Amino acid sequence: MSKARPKGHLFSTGILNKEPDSLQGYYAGFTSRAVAIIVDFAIIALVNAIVVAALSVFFDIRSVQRFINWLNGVLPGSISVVDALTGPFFGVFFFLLFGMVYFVFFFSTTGQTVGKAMMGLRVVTTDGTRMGVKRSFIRTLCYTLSWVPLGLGFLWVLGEDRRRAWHDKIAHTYVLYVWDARYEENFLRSAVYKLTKKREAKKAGKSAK
Amino acid sequence: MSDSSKVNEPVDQKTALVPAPDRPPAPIEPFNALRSTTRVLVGLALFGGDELLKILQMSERDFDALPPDPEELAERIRTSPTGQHIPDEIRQALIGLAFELQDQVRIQTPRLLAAADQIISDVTRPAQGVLNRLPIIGSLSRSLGLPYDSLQKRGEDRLQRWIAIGQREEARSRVLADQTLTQIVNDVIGYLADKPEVQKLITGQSTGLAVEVLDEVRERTVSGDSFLEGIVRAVMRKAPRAELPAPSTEIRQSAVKMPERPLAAKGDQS
Repeated sequence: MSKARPKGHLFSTGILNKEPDSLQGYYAGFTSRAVAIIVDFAIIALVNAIVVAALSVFFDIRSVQRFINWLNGVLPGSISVVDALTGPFFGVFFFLLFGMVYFVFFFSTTGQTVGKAMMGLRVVTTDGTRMGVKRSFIRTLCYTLSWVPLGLGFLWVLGEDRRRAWHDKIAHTYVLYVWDARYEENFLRSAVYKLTKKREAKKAGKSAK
Repeated sequence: MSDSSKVNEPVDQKTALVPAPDRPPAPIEPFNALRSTTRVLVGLALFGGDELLKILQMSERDFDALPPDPEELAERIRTSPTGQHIPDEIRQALIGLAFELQDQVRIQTPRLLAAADQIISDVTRPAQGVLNRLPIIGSLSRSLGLPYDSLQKRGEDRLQRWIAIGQREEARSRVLADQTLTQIVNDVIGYLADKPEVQKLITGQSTGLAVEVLDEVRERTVSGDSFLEGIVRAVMRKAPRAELPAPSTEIRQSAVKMPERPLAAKGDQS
């Protein structure tokens, strides 16, 4: 495992001392998870847009409209169903429904959504097993809970020791790196250096006083 | 020449291949391998020449717009791959001479030709008059003069015919060369694309590139994870982490291998 870092070091997880070499199986952090969830929501939004547009085009076809008018004569109220399917609320409804199905399906089958697979992450239960449908459903539902207070539930990952968001805590899950995770040595090096120096200077100033 | 008037008609380069609407279309000539090959070769030579000139023009323009650093240029001149040098002055004088000669030839040639023409006509006109008056030599001179005139006429006609053929064939050669080149390039690409080895190579390289990019993104986000965390901990006045907390071995195993659902967990206690 890692050597103990000097006390007061600003960055605590291996950027500067490069240990451990691989973070495979370690808890995944905020940025990786945020990128993964952005990819997932982009996919859901894209599918949603395609479905809504396709429905709208379909119901604009003259023969389909004639059929709906005929159906409305036979079954009164059919037109209101079609109106609902092409209305704005259907878009929101489909987004939520498809989102739920998407997350539950992927969590319960592989533990990885498309975005998480791309970022090399996997959701597992706290005892290291795969999630079932029920737990996946709860975890997905709890995304809402994490969103409501301005995403504080998601930001919780940044301060929590095991990098768990609220939905992880409720569903008893962890998100792990499944790839041979390692740091990009040059990325952020200058930022880390500057911040560390600033902090050291501040400390030196304080001790001089 | 019997059809010299036809031959001397100027041929429009652009419309050389397109028959005029009031003229009957030219008869389709039977395929002649030698003629077609000549056309392609001429077309390629014209193409090559045009491209070379374009490149030269661009290079010259670039050089004028952004001349290289004089020191670098001097260093490049000094550096010889063999290590042997012609002395600077001699080398530069030879280069200068080449350019001077070229300029002189360009300027002086028309003058020289005009002067030669003038001299010849000045000398021959009086001599011709004198010679024509002499009984034997005069008739000889006149008899020699006639074939000379007809020879000159034939030469001019032949030149005009060549010009006309050139005007007609240039456009056709260019089109033919263009089509042939495009066809060859398409065939080569098609042949390469059909080769499984090439397909494998291209796919492999594309996949390799995508994997590389993805790895880079992942590495950066992992660095970002720690970086953001460090900032948040500093803001919250929390003690920095000495190390990342390691999950238990079972949990870490589940990252390496797809975790199984335990039989007991069928009920899914959450």
